[in-house]
Amino acid sequence: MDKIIFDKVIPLPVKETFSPLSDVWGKEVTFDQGLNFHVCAPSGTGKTTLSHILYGLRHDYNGEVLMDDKKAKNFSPDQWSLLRQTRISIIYQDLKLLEEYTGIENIQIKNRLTNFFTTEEIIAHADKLGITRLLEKPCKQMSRGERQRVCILRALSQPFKYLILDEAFSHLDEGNTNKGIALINEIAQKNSAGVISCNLFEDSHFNYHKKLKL
Amino acid sequence: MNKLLVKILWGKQSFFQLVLTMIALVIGVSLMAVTINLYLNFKDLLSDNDAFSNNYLVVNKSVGYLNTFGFSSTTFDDDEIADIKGNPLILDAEGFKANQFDVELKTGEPINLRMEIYFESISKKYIDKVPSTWTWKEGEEVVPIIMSTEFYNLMSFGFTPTKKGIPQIPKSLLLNKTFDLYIRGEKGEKRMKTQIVGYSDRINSLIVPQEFLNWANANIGKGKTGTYSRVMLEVEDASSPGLNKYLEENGYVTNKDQLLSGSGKTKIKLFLSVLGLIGGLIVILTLNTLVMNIQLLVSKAKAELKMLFSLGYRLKTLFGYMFYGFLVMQLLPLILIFVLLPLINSGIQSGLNEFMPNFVLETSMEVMLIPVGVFVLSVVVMALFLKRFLRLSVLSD
Repeated sequence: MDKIIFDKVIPLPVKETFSPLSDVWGKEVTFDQGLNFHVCAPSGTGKTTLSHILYGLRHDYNGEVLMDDKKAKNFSPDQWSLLRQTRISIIYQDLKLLEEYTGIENIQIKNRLTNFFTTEEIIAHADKLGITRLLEKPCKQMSRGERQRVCILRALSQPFKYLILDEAFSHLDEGNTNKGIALINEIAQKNSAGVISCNLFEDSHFNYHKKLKL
Repeated sequence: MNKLLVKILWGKQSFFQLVLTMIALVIGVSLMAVTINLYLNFKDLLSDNDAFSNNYLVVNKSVGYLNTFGFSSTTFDDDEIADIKGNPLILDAEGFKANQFDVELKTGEPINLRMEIYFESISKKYIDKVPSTWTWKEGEEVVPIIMSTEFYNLMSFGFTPTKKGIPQIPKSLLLNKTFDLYIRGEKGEKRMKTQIVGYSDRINSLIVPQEFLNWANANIGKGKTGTYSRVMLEVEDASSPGLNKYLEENGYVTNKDQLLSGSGKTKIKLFLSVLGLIGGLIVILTLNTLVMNIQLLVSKAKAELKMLFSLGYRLKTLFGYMFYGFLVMQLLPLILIFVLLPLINSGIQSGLNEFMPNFVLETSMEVMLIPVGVFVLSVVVMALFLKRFLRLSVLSD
């Protein structure tokens, strides 16, 4: 998958309200593999919708999303599963963790799909994020910031070419945000992958090649 | 195996509910298997192997003084049989042909018994058990006989004990023993051999193949055709009052007890049919319960399933982990049923023996196949519905 092309995509939820000045909706945009994109999106402009379209969780849009020149709308559930195992990863805004399960279990359930990291590697990376002592704690007992860091590590526990960040650092202080950015950069470089970072405000978390406004 | 995945998919399910489902399966399938087993056992008892089956009746004319002095005949002719066949209560009828020559049987050493006997013949369809060896072609020396069990009992328990030096011989030992046969009639005589090849509970006679009797009557005996000593009737319901009246009006005699027992047997048959129907209903209900359980279990794990799918787990993987859980859930009852069935059957056996001492409850292969059949059916149903419920809950918004 060298690139993801948005060809005049207009999601149904923002059909009536999207701005004609948007760089993405209704336009042609190419997300090249290995480049970092910044998507600046005020509330209600369809930031999470964009993440979910890229990750295959929603298909209710006009226009076409092309991956490998194939229409993403036609992918089977199984094709999406394989893409999510090896090509595209996501850090959800709403985290989507298994609340009853511990930090390590939440990370392993992703990692086991491809056995991308060894347990030692997971612990080493957790240490970089400052969540080592949280690994054995159920997620429901963690603060939102702690959960967000578990979610970051979970998203990195697979091979990927695109990493979608949906307000990935919204509950982290500057120090922890920087730790997260450093780890994402480290793993993304190993994968020669790029990030598509969606945020409410313009930021400079990554070395962006292209900035888009929704 | 991904233990974490098993924990996530099955951890939330209540153990109690799973056990209840399994118990329901065990009860449902056991009940059905036992019912069908009983049905098969009683069905055998009530129809094919029963001397007093209400589907077959042997009638003859009553013997009066006129017969004794030769003024009237107790035989049936073709017209009378045609008239019997014409009665709507009678499905079919056929006359017994009798021998028109003398028959003498010699047992040979060591018993050395010599006796005058008689032969009768009737189509195979009226005989309850026809051995494959019960055939005869012109030129063959050995004449096969199907002997009435009643006849054997008379000989074995009535006649033999009164004669010194004649041992009682078990039924099975008597089978296929060769005896000397001497037939003599108006047209000639012949020395042959004979064998008892089987026993009949239904027909009180010594029955030989029709081919033999036709040949012997024509070549040894008088060669007269068209008279029959007795007539066998196939009827819908032997206890029907209409049939009774018809037989009475024509002066035909049959065993009255036989007619009386007929109505009781019809009731037992009806009862067993109802039991069989209930068995079938239980299976349908069990399968229905199974489907509802699958739906419940899938909906309980819906959030987890959706999340796992969005993490990149394939539908087939999720299906597999749910499927194997259900498979184990159903294998356990299957094994339990195989342990329970013989126990239940022996319980029924001892219960029945209180008033039917000689009754042996047989468990046929088919009955043991029922749980396996239900298992296969439920696995197929489970796979289909699980796939459907899984897709619905994972792919829905």
